[in-house]
Amino acid sequence: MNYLTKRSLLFSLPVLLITGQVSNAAESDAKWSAKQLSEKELLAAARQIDIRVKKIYDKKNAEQPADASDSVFLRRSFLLAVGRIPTVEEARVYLESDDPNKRVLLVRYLMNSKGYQSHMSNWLVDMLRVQENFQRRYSAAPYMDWVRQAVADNMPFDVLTRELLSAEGMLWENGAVGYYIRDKGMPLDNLSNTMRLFLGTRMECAQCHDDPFNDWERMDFFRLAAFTNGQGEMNRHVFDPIWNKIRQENERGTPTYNLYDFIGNNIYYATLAGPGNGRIKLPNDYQYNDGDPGEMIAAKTPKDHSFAKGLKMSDRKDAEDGRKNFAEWVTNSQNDRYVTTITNRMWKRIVGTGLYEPVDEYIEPREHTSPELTRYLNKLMQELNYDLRAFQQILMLTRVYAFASSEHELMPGEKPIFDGRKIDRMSAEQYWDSLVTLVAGNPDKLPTRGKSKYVKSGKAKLDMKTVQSEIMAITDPQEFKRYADKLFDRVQSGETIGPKAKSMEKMEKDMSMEMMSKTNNGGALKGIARASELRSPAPNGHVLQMFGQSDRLLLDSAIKEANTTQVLSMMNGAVEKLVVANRDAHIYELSEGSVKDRIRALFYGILSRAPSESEMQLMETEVEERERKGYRNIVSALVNSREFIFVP
Amino acid sequence: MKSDLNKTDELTRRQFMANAAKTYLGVGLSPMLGASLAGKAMAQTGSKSQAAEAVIFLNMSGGMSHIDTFDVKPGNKEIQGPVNAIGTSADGIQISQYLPKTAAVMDKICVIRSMSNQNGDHFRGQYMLHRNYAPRATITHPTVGAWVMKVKGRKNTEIPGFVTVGTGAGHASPGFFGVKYGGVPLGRPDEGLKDSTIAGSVSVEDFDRRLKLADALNKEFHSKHNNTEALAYDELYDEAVRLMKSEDLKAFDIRDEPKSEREAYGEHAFGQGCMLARRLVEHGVRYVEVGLGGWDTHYDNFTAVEARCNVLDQAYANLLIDLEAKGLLDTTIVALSTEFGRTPQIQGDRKNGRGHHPRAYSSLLAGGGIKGGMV
Repeated sequence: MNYLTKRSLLFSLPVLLITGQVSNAAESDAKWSAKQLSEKELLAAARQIDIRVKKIYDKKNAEQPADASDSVFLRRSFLLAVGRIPTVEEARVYLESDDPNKRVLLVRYLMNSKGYQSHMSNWLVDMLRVQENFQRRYSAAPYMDWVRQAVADNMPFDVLTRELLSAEGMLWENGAVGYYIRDKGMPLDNLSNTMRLFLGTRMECAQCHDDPFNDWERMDFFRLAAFTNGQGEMNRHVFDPIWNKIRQENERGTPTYNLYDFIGNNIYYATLAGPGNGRIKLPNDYQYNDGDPGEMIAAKTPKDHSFAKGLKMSDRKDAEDGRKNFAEWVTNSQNDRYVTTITNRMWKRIVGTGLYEPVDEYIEPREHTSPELTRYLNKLMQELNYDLRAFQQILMLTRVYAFASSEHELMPGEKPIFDGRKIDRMSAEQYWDSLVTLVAGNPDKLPTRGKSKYVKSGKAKLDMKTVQSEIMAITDPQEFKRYADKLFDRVQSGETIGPKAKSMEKMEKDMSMEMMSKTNNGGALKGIARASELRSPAPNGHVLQMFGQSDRLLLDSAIKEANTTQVLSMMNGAVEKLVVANRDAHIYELSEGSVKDRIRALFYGILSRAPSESEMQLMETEVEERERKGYRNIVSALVNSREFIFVP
Repeated sequence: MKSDLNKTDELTRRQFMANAAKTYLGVGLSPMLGASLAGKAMAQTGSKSQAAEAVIFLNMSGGMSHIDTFDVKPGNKEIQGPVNAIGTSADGIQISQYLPKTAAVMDKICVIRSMSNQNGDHFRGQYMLHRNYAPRATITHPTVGAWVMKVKGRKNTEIPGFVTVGTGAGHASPGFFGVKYGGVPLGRPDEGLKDSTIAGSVSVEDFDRRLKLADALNKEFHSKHNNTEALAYDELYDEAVRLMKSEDLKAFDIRDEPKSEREAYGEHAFGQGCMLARRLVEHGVRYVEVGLGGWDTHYDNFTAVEARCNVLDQAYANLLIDLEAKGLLDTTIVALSTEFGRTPQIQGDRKNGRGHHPRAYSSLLAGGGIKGGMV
């Protein structure tokens, strides 16, 4: 970047901060009406929260903690809202501005930036355990794309929940069906996850036996499972007879075999039929008196006042709307568990300590520190129509969010009073995206993964939406055979199969994601993109994996545990290669001016604050003694400091 | 709705486990083996009463077909398929024809054919195998290696005591014991310990300067935040620096091994991993896990198992021979296991594949005073 653009960026940032930038509200053709709140309304809601938090302190006759410094507020806000540290320029503009309203402006800037989408999609991709491929390595791209689009559109969370739980049809037309396809063959585990994720209710024990710690019985679990029972693939009967024949007549690996294998696994596998039977057979090892093994039982929601009004289906015949009913019940406005769970997840995300923890073990609001606070937050969530962005934005405008960090560790049974965030190691994604920021500046400008429309078979590229809808329209095996024969010829000739062939370049771009993720061969700048744009999960040996990115197999499996390989990587590995020894790294770009200026720029860019006097002296000495190498030593030391990897 | 029973927090749980570990000292090795079985094998060690000081665990991930390896069913064609049983150096023990080299050292090995669990799912099976508990969402249990670290501690304090090679990072997890007890996961045996030397562009002087500068910043930071997780990193930095300077770092570098040795183990990741494991044990590492995947033979079982066995056979047999030659076998337990077995039924429609079969599988023990040549 040359000097000129740097200057103009410096000038443009304040403008950005002041005007805000509503990035995508206008582009979206979403089917829900998002209520766009004014700044005044957002602030009013934040004040309502402040009042209720203050009451917690008043009741204890205690003073509220002091506010965090500007630099803490800055760093915290960047890391929580957009998942990375601020760049040198962003830090400078903010820290040197004397606008009394700058915190509000900063929050608005962040929540409306692309970075928010990236960071939020990491969260949702974790929650939904979205991997690049389904089991057996077939593309899950449309599911990933759907989830990312939902975040970009700021899809209300209740709409998102319903779309996922009740989706049906072809993956390449409606990526939401990926929610069930992801767990194909494990519908009961899928249900356990649904209950845990959306309703903060742990029922996995009841999958096999009555839960001794909770009230859930195995019968409750199966009655719930009945809603979603009967999932299958579309038109499999058209394909199977021919596939069985092909499989016997052709060796694995031959072109014919490969094509049918492809169709089976990328086309048929990627469909979801069965709207939810509303009834299910008890398993063969059912052990209690209230039902017999193999007995057909009807769907019924568990009875508890924290759930919405009960719902029951028929055990006589299969229904056409089991999943739809289930989805409506889960998201019903009377379902206290639903609203409380998502409210608490967002509260913990921003404030640091949950209204109760763990977030997936629901506790009734009347047991919370301040039932009044929880009820207000729940009501706010519903009034916002589950707009998670607006909700988080409001939380970031509260006082409790801005408290200085505390080291208060809760004792067992102690209720939280929200006295400041406890410092917390960056997540793998926050850490990686922060390194990327040091290398490349604002990473919102870096390449993104784009949508994947094509899948390769041999030399041919198939536009999957077209091919899948064509094949699914076929209901006669003979007709299918004719279609497949024709497809075979086209695949053999290496054609691009789709509505209209796009330019190769554009197509390569669509498919480039796979290549981008391979970071270990190639220069330091290869694979420099945000975590959300890389392979999910990142490959073995990647910094993301080293720092505990979720394997996206199990819910909540991301870890923040320290280990030796991380430390070696910070001292001698990725940090050294990508940042410290990389002369083109963004962090070195502002290396003009006096020694003091340059040191200050490094502190702004790495720790989001100015150096203290003693730090400045120390660093000046370093530069004096080691000259050019001194700057590198400073960068390495700052990135290796505890301050760098802990969110304040 | 919520019982007080599950309100116990991390801290108390950790304390509880620490006490338990002290009370039941020696429990470290048994979770994976099943206490009673391990006890039985230990009891029959005869005169050799030397205690084991190290463990090499060979993890056959994916579900190794017990029927086609160590639990052959000769005479039952329908179950056995095309695999023949062969005699071994241990009287009365037959194993698969795919494992001729192992057959020759069978007198050192104790086969446990009665392994069983309830999980037909790879992740849950592996979790159980490593931690002896079913996965829970609220707590991560320590792996066997972490137990060994907790109970026995390091033998060589300069290098890590627990290393995994070519197996998921999760298998190095300390669980709720905390970072001190975790393993160091190595991706490939020939890469050594990644990033364990100062980058070429940095002089020793600058390296030390960087540490000093960071220390100054950290002091200030810790004085503001008394945070255990942040302090844990300090510990690891100290350790990493010690490690970088350690003479024993060469334990990780298999390039020092002569070519003949490398060939004897087999020129594949698993063979080289086993050789690395031996090197590490020689240098005082307590617990090494080496992974060999690809046992998930739903499809074309016999071809795939034969190919896996070729790799396993050479490396495993040579590891036992090598350890014995170096006088390490008596003090090193070599354990081999998988997360579950595979079905006796052969699925014709999957080109003779076998499905998951958690109800029966085989594990092997050798060395460490364990009596070989028995089932």
